[in-house]
Order: sequence, then C-alpha cells, then structure tokens
Amino acid sequence: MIIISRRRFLALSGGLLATGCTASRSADSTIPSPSATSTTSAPTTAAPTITPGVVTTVSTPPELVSAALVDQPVLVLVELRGGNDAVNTLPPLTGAYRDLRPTLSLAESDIVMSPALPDHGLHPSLSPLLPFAESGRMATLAGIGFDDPNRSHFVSMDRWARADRLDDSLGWLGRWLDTLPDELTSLGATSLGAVGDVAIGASQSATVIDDVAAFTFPSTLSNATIRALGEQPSNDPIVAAAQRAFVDSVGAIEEFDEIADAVRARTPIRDVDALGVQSGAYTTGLAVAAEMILGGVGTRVVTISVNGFDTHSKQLETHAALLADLANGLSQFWTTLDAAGASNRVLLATTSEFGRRVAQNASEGCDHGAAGVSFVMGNSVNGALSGALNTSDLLNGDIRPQLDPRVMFTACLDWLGADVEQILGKRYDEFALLR
Amino acid sequence: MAPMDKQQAVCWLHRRAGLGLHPNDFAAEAERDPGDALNALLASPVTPRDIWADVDLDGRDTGRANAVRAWLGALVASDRPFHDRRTWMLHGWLVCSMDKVPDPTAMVEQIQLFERSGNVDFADFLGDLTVDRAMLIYLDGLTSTAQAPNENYGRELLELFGLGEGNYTEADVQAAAAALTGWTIDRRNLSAKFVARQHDDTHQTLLGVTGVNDVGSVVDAVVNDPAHPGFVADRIISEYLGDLTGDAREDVRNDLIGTYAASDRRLDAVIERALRLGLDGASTTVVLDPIRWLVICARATGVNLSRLRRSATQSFREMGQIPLFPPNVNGWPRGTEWLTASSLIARTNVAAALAAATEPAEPLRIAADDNDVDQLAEHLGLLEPFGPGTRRAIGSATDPVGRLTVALVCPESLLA
Repeated sequence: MIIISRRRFLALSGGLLATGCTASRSADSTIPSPSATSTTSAPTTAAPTITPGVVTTVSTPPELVSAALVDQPVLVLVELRGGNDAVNTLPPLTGAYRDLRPTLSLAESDIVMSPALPDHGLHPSLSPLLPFAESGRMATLAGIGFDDPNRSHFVSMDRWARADRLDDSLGWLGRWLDTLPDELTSLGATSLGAVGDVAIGASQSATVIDDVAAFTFPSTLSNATIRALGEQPSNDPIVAAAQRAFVDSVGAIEEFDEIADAVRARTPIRDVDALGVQSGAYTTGLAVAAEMILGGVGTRVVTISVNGFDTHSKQLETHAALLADLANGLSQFWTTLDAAGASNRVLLATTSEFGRRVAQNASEGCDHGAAGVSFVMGNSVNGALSGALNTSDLLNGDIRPQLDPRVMFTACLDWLGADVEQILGKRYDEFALLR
Repeated sequence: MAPMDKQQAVCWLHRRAGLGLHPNDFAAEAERDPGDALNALLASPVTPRDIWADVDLDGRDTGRANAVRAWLGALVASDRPFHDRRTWMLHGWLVCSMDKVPDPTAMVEQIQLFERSGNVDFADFLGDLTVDRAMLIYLDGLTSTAQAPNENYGRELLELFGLGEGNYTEADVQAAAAALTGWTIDRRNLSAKFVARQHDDTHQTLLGVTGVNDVGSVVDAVVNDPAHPGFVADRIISEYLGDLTGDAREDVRNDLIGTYAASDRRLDAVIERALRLGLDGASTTVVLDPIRWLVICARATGVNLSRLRRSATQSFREMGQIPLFPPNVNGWPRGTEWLTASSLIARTNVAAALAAATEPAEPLRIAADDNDVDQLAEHLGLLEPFGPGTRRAIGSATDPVGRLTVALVCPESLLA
C-alpha cells in the first residue's frame, strides 16, 4: 500500500507535471487517466491509515491513486565502484582461496555460514543480509561478468552500464528512459551521489542529487528566474544543454521540495570540514532512496554509486567498512519499505565493474580481476545462490565469468515492464531471476 | 566556430587557456593583438613564487584542508594563469588524491612537479612522476615487489597516463608492473628509494620492446609507442579546444602530433600550438569545470574566497570538485557531465555567495546596479552578449545581487 499525502499528490499532478518546463517533459504531459492500466496493483485507500514507522495520513482521491505514476515498480541499482572483491564478499569454502591469500583471506570463524549459500559464506560485515538470503528475498549471483573480461575500470564500467554495447554511449536504463518521454517526473530517475552511467539516455537521463541538504537554489533567486535561463535554446548544442540543465534542475527541486523534510530528517548533515569521500554513503543514499519511493514523487529508478572498492592495498579494513555500510543501508532500506507496506514494488540489484584477483599482492590488497558477485533483492526474486566462485578453474588468476550480467538486466527490465528485446537486442533468460 | 574578432580572441584565450581576468584587465587586454596576448600568457613567470611557503601542512586533517585552501587561493591570485591552468589540467589527468595520500606535503610536492613539467621532455616528467612519493602511495608502487607485483600503477600508466585503452595487452600491464617493482619511500628523508632485493630485474618485453627492467626503459617504451603522441594530442584537444570532430579533428591531431615530436615532447609547446589553431577557428564550446569556473568568477568579482562564510565554502564541495581530491584515478567528470542538477544548484549557491560578497566599487557590481546587461557580459570576458534567456533571467532578478548571481552562473558563464 502506498502512503502519500494529498498535498504531495496534488502538487505532483497539478503543479509540477503541468509546468511542462523541459523539452523532454512537455506541457501536454498529463497524469494518465484513471483507466490507465497500472502494472502493479497497490490497493487504493481513502481512509486514514497508521502504519508503524510512517506518520502520515492518506486522503488521496481514488482517481489519482490509480494514476500510473505513484504505484509503479521501482528499480534501485547499487554500484560498488572500483571493482568489489567477490571472493572476500562471498568466500568460497573450498578450493584455493586460502592458499592464494595467506593474509587476506577471512578467518573461518568470522565467515557467516548458511545453508542458503551452499559452498560459500558471507563476509562478516554482510551479516545483516543473512536474513534476506535465508528468507528467499535475496538472490546471489556468483561469477557474474562478461565473457572475455577487460581489466580496465573504465572499459568494464562501460560494459556494465551499456549492457556490453560499446558502440552505443547510452546506458541500458537510459535506453529505457528514452522510451518514456511523457511518463517520467523530474525525479522519475535519480542518481544519488554520482552520475549513474547506466541511466544516461539520449533524451532523458537521471537527475543527480549529491547532498540532499544542499539541493536547493539560493533564496534570492526565484524559480522563474532560473527557468528563464532556458528560454530560446541556443543553436550551440553545449549552450543549449546547459540551458536545459537549469530548467531540469528547477523541476527536480520543485518535486524534491515535496519530500525534502522527510528526506533530510533521515539523513545526517555532512561535516562542514570533511573532505573527500564521505563515510556512510550507502546508508545515507539508501535512506534517501526509501523516502523517494515512499514520497510519491514518481520515482521509477534510483542509482547509488559509491567509490572505494579499488582495494589494491590494505584491503581488509577498507573493504569491511564499505560492506558494513552497504549491508546496514540495505537492511534499513527494506525495513523502511516493509513498515510502509511498499516493498512489493521494489527490486534492488548490486553491480560492480569486476571482481578482484584471487591471489593477493604484496600490498595486502588485490589487483583487478574478472567475474564478481551481485545481489538481487526483492519479494519477487528467486532467492537462491546461482553460479559459484570457483577458485580451482581460474582465468589468468581471476574468477572465470559464468553468469552473463544481462540475465540480471533482463530481470530488471522485466520488472520495470520494459521491452527487453528492444533495449538489450534479445532476452537473456538462461535462468529465471524473478518468480 | 565562427571566426573571432580580435577582442573575442583575447577573451577566448583568457577563459580557455588562462583563469579569466578582472574586468579592468580585460579592458586593457582587449586593446591587444591576440598573438601578443598569447605570447604574454605563455611567457615564463619571472618572479619566483612559493604558494605553499607559509602554509601549515602538518596534521592529516588540518594539513589537507590548508593545502586545498592554499592552492585555491593561489589560483585566484595567479600571476601566471597559463601555467597554473596547465598544472590544474595535469592534476586532473595524472591523478593522485589525498583520500589515499594522507601526507599533504607529498601532494604538494607532486603539484610542484607539475608546475615544473611544461617545458621538459614528457619522458623525463613521466619518469619523475613514476617514483613521485604521492604517486608511489596512490597507485601502490610503494609496496609492489618482485615476489608479488602490484599492477595498479603499471595499468594506469598505460591506460590513463600514456597510451589509452586498446593500445596495450594484459601482458604489457604485468611487464610494466614487474619492471617497476622495488621502489619504496625512505622514511628518514621521505624521498623515493630503490631497494634492489625487492626489484624484479628480469628483462621484460613491454609494448614489443625487449630488455625493459627499470623506470627509464618502461617510460621509453611508453613514449616511443606509436599510440602515445596521439594520446597526448587527444588530451590537449579535449582540454583546450573542445569536441572537434571529423577532418577538422584529424588535421589538428596530426598537427599536434608533429609539434610534440618537433618540440622534444614539451607539453607547453603542444598547448601553444593548439591555442594558435584554436584562434584560427579549431574550437568548440567547452564546459568549465567547477574549480576553473569558481576561480574565473572570483577573479572577475575581486572576491577573496577565504572571506566567504563557511556555508559558501561547503558549497564548493557540492559542486563536485575539491582540489587535491579527485574521485578516482580517471579524475573528475568532463564536459557536459558537469551539467547535473546537483552541480548546477551548488554553483548557483556559490554564485550567490560571490555576488553578495562583491564590493560596491567593483565593475561587475556597478554594472549590476545599473542593470547594464551588456556590460555584465563584457566584464566577464564573454565572447558574445548574453542570449535572450539569460537577459530575461537577469531582468527578472529583483536586486543587483540577484542580477550578478545570474550573470555569474548563467549558461554563457559556465562555458568557455
């Protein structure tokens, strides 16, 4: 069930979409009629409802709730940027793991074991994810990666973002966004933290929000002033892109204002003097994502990217902290959605451009590798372990790819109701990731 | 690009290859011949300068913050904008980050290496960089040994610093890594130290060159590879000339490759040649990265950044770019990647802070008081008057600070 305030909803339907401020979201774009089919079947509620953990009342006009914007399926992509070390994430219990990592393997007593993950364990930092694996809400894809792996960060990131179509600069989610010219709000696709390359389309790309506390224009300028910058687009494509970006930013802020209080209440204020990478980025980002999903701003896609997984040296401590942040963030994310009764609408998948070399180097770290591990979470996933991290049959020292990432992308696109063949060229459904 | 008149050419030079100018200086420069203006920009600075002399770099946190502030302040006060802008480019290309290099003095020494690098053989520079203390830390050369080589530096040397993806093999990565093993840092004097017993002296084959077993031979193999000069040319084109395409790009690229060889691989010679071709029309609009935009705006308004309120300096970070903290080994986003909602909103907040801090006697503030839209554009050194959208936006602002804010952050000002 979707909890949404009438004020939010009316602002969405009347105030924002109708402003039609961008080239891609024209003024004619209207809320789909009540008869429009909705791909999920969240029930309509007109009575005040109290849900644990969420304090809000529902007084939504029935004709608006069925509008396709609010209760549609949502995809969250969580990127572990830098190349996550799969074999310490999901340590294989047999094979050459310990021999190749004399000081970098996890102690047997620290590894989290479960019948849900045969022949593998979980990094101790990931223990908050164990209930998800055991209740079947999390699929584990071991050995995921493209054939003929490339060990460059940037080539591999492009292959993941573009579903291995390197001739095409668009992300596979961006290609899907391009098919929805009139159906997305400004926050319909949002990247938290950094640009999500996967959500770059030709006509629509994700709105990037870094620090939610700072996501507001100075009070000295009106939105109309900012919007005026976009009038009469220049013939110079770069100037026109900058003009459009300002207009899109105003639209995003107007929508974000609807949920800003709720979001800011749940995210820490950044340290004024802090430089560089902020700790807790996953926990913060996933909290924002949950508020967006619950806030009724039409969010369909959220990407969250966090740097730091390029652990060439002194890996153990860094990796443990990153995974702990990830697992805590994921656990809280689902707790929030569960409490609001919204978890049926959400599918979440993790990505990383490659796994790391199985053998450690002399810097207490490991170099770029090949296949890795992904987790897919949601109430509709086939929550099992697929594939394996096989350290007995390595490819130049790396885990050999055995699961095509496009199987995961196919499931994600199915979840969104996309035309998979149009976007990926064909379906990759060697196994069914969704029930 | 449409042909530029003399005044436009001078503005183009200062916004593209320098760090902008104060309006009074733009007025003086506008009288000059573009060729003379370029020669003046290129001229080696005569006065020695040490921007770090009085900076307290002790302590991981305060030292790092002081280093960032000192460099930003030096860019705003720069009396050698061509050279400082080139140093800034090198920092975004040959990347190290204080996220991983905890000692601020190591990063400062690397920036000083960049400052010295414009007029030397790129091969010598790359050799120095390979055993630079910050680089040894950042890309793990420090702990790479014959027994267990670390591939991090070897890979990025080939992919990001010297050749580009597709121009080397995995075997080349391993060969470079092996040949570069054995370098560490002497804890007593904090200089690079070679430890022979940790070095793999086996003769490697790198990029088809045999007998490679040390820094010099690795660097030689890279700079003598046929892909290297074009890789450098591409970098300079995208930094200084924009997104050239087709035959125009091929012509410029070949020209710069020739210049690179003829100048014994001196970067400043290649940049100079690129700028001359740019003055002749080989240029497309580029997006200024947040720091260059900030520096240009601070110089134009005469605002001392260190006097801004803390909330304003926090907005610097929200723009997505902190000097000395690139997000990863490939540096910061580039071009239109900067046109995100998050970054534009932060820039608008920074522009508001700068506009509010601009003194009443400043030419830009006077133009804002007078609501003189054309004068605002001219004072900013823009090549053209503002377009209709920006004129409308400035007109709709309710006070001079609002008008100046819009002028500083409008699309025309974000671009060069």
